Amino acid sequence: MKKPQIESLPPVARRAFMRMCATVLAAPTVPAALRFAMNEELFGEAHAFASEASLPTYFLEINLRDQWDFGHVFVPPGIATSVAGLTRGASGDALSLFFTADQITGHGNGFYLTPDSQVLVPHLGNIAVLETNQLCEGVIHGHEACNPMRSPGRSRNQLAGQQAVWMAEPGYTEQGNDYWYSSTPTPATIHNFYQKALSPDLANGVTMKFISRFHSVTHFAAGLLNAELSRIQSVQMLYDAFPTTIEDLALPSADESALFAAALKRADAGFFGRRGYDQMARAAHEAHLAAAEGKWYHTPNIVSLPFDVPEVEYWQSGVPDQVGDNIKANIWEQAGWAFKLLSNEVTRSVSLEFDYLDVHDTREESVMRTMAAQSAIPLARLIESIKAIPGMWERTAIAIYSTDGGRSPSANSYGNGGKSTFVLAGGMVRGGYYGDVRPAGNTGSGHSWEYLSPDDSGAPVVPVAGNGTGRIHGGRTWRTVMKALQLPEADLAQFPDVAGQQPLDFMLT
Amino acid sequence: MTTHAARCTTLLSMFLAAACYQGIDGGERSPAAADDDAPGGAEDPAGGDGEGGTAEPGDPNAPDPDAPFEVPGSEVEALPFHVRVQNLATVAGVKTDDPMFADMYAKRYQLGDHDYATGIAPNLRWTPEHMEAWVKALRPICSNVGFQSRYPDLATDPSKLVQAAFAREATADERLAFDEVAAGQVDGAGRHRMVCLAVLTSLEFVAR
Repeated sequence: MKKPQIESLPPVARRAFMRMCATVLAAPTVPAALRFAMNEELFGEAHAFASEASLPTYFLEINLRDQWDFGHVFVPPGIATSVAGLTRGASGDALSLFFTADQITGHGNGFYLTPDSQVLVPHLGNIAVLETNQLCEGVIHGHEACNPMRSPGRSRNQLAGQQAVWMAEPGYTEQGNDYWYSSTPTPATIHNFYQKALSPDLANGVTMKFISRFHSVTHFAAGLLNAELSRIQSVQMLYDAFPTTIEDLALPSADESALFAAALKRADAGFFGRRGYDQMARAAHEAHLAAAEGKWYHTPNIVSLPFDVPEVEYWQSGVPDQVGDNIKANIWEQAGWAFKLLSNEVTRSVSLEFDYLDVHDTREESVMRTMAAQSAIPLARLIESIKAIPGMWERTAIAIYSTDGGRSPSANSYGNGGKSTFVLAGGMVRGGYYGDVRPAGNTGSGHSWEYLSPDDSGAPVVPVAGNGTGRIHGGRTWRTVMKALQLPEADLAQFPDVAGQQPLDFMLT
Repeated sequence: MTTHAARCTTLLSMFLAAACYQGIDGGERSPAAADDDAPGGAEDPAGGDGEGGTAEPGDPNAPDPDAPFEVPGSEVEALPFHVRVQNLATVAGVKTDDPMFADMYAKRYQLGDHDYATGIAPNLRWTPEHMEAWVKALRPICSNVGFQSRYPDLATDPSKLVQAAFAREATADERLAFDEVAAGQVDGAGRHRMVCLAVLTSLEFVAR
């Protein structure tokens, strides 16, 4: 093993040297990989890992339902290079792509974009796309609120060590959610857990439950105490949770707050036994009390979430309104609010939930173009805005899931087959469209398709078979997100369904 | 110190130079030039979606599985918002539309209330955020003149409020807890406020 260079300094000089280097290397403009390499060279690998773990990261998890199709955002290479000879259209097995070959542009690394997604071109170096992921398995043609990429190992039947994932979700009764058990925490939730441990004064992470009906997205702490995201169900609730002015504190001092929390802990001690709750409930409640103690007297970071006119013009321009039953908030609004919360250090973990009301049997051009604009434009503006803040982009990950399954390229397709899309963007992401979808034959009304997953180098060479063989295990995607977020790898071994999975390193720098 | 800074900066420069040398692979590729020689995947024997027929669309109207019965044993569950307000009103000896509940209603959705018409379902988790909002909403109730006159001895004896709130006498632990929270205050008003907040925030009152 290489000897750290720090050991070449006299002991009395080491402390000053370390302090100086810590200051230089923590500068926001120093890339993470460079910082790690410097720390490893100077102080050794253990110090390098410890230094990275002590830095904040920012996470935005975007969950799109119902069975979102990115076909007008990222055209798989095998389709882009053969589109001139394909049957395109809105029904049957026709390819639901409404641009001609001359309108599709190649950008290297497997990326082919349509006019609807050109806005992403400046950022493709930091966007990774993978669509041959594990499929969703909800009973209604795949619809589910969990997703095997978000909580790998999730099961319909409660296996040893698994808990119900839906217990913290309000209104979890509508069909199309399904009931799952798991032992793997979902991404924004585990990130929230680590960031609050790093910075206890942070506001709790949030998920904006703005799907237009009670189709839901499950967020699950898997036993991590005080990790659950706050469920925001309306715009007013969001504004109430993050007021623009400092409210009167609940209690006037830290001492009084500590006394109050200690008194409640004592008063509540007998409650659990009397009401039949288990010891985990008591541990969870006492963790909540400890967190509440900080909130009763603490003044949080303040941010004004309502948009002013220039903000509306920036975030809304070109983004179609939500298409759904009970419109709560548009995707551009959610993106803008997420940016404000993250960039102002109010919280570091935000999840968005959004939908395009379920489309069956046909997919018209308007459907494809609307979904493309609703996903590509907010993503581009988020990246652009975060990049404008020195040092933030390299510590940010944006994960987008077609949460309840994707689609095959054929118009009449559903989320229990074909693509199951995962998009990862961030300063540590190596851009590329990984894998491929190619025409495999003609069916009369259109085409059948073959799918190729990337191998460990990222090359699209692993065939996907009908039994799911060849699809990327959800645990690998999950570990990739965790690595991008710089969560401590040793800790992740406690979750059995991801412990043996390797991240997709070809996606990361 | 200057030497240290120079040494660190020199190393930083070396790393930057090395990083820049590697460059970034990029450049636009034409559709025709890309991935032409990548090996293909398995043919689709079913002539369907390339996966041997796994892409059956399924029935969009298929019945959803019944919700399993899960007892919320691993995290306490608050009483529904309207039940908590009704219980507060009973303790205070007023109706639920009394002005002392204005802050409570202003925070009703933060406190787990529902409005299905606008897509807001009940949220009965008793989280730190709920506790923060609850204590803020309780303050005007505990400082209400009518409430204080109903429990004039609360600063020194919580038993009447405990009986009204819990429908039983305090346990030894509860009594000790309420004594402790009062002991930290310098005057009767402070003791009254803190005991009131503690009794009405304890799980026995807010949870089920």
